[in-house]
Amino acid sequence: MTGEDRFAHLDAAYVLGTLDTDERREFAAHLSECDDCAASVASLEEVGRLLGSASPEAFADDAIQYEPSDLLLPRLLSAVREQRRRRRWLVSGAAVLAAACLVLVTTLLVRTTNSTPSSPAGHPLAMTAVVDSPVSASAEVTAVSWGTKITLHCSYESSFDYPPGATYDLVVTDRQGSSQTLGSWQVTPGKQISYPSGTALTKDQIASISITTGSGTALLRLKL
Amino acid sequence: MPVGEAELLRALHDEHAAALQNFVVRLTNGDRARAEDVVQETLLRAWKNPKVLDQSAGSARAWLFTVARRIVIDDWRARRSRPEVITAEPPEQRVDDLASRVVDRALIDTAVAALSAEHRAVLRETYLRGASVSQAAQALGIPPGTVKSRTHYALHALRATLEQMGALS
Ligand SMILES: [Zn+2]
Repeated sequence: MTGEDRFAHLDAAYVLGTLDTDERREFAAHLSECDDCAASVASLEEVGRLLGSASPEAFADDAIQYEPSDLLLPRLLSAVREQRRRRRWLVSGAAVLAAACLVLVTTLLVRTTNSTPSSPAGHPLAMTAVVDSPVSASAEVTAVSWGTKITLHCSYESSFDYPPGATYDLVVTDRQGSSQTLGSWQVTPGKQISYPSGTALTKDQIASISITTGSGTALLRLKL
Repeated sequence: MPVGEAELLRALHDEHAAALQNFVVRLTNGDRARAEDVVQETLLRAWKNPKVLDQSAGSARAWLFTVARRIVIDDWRARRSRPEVITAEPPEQRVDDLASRVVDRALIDTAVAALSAEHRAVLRETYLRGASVSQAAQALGIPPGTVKSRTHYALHALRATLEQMGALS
């Protein structure tokens, strides 16, 4: 349709169902012969549906606007500074530890490769280092009726200077590439821990299992 | 930290922090401090991901909203799947259903609240309160034709905001 389309502004009221009966009927008839209006209506349909789940308070005259506090920016800047420092420290500290970790990982790898190439349920599989880090781990991955049970066995170098309150996360990634965190735990230098966890994903759906730092850096990974 | 990087972080913060905070507060039951932690983590991940920063501001925002929502949902899941709550039945399904409802509501509420007061008002009268066009015209003190065209602009503005937030399929 060329020139002024007197219907052009009725798309939204039509989608929201707020036109009166006559105008609604007239506009519906117009839709069958006007591609512009039809396209415009189509482009608003999902918005109309989403609007159905809005809370009434969101429409208030003085709808609340939340502002982050003035502390956010300084905290961001210092978090970045802290990460730079830690990364430097991870790399330098790790040189000493790399040898020890490597031996451990290799031993585990050799052991698992020799005994269980098809990795049946319940046998611990060594996780491979993604970056040098003071942690080594193996994982038991077991298919169960509700999904997959994952038990981690982690050990930490005791001589390492861990940041106070450091935590690690257990993350599984499915074959579509989406990840979920199954849980987190505190680092206990010099100790071995077992961390039982689980997911509703079936064992076949899991592409990999990773241990990451609290800030999301992957340290160890097991590909399934 | 090099000056350029501090500037980059500041720019990310200025451009997106308020929009993210508005969204995430609605996912944390109004817990602003927790929301701010999530916003911080989200912006840090963007800062570590140069590809995001190269995108236009619009698509960067969609990425940020997706990451923020994932951080919150992962946290919900983690609470559900701590060792002591692992039972014979999978908790994931319930969490996922609930999560998508809560996320949809947070997205639409954030977008509606970000509209101009005029646009919000016309949607409130016609859509929320179910007023007829002439009733809404009277309540708002504008001609009926303006009610319809304002509804048009309001809904298209809402669509643009939702699109920027990555909320539309
Ligand atoms: Zn038309």
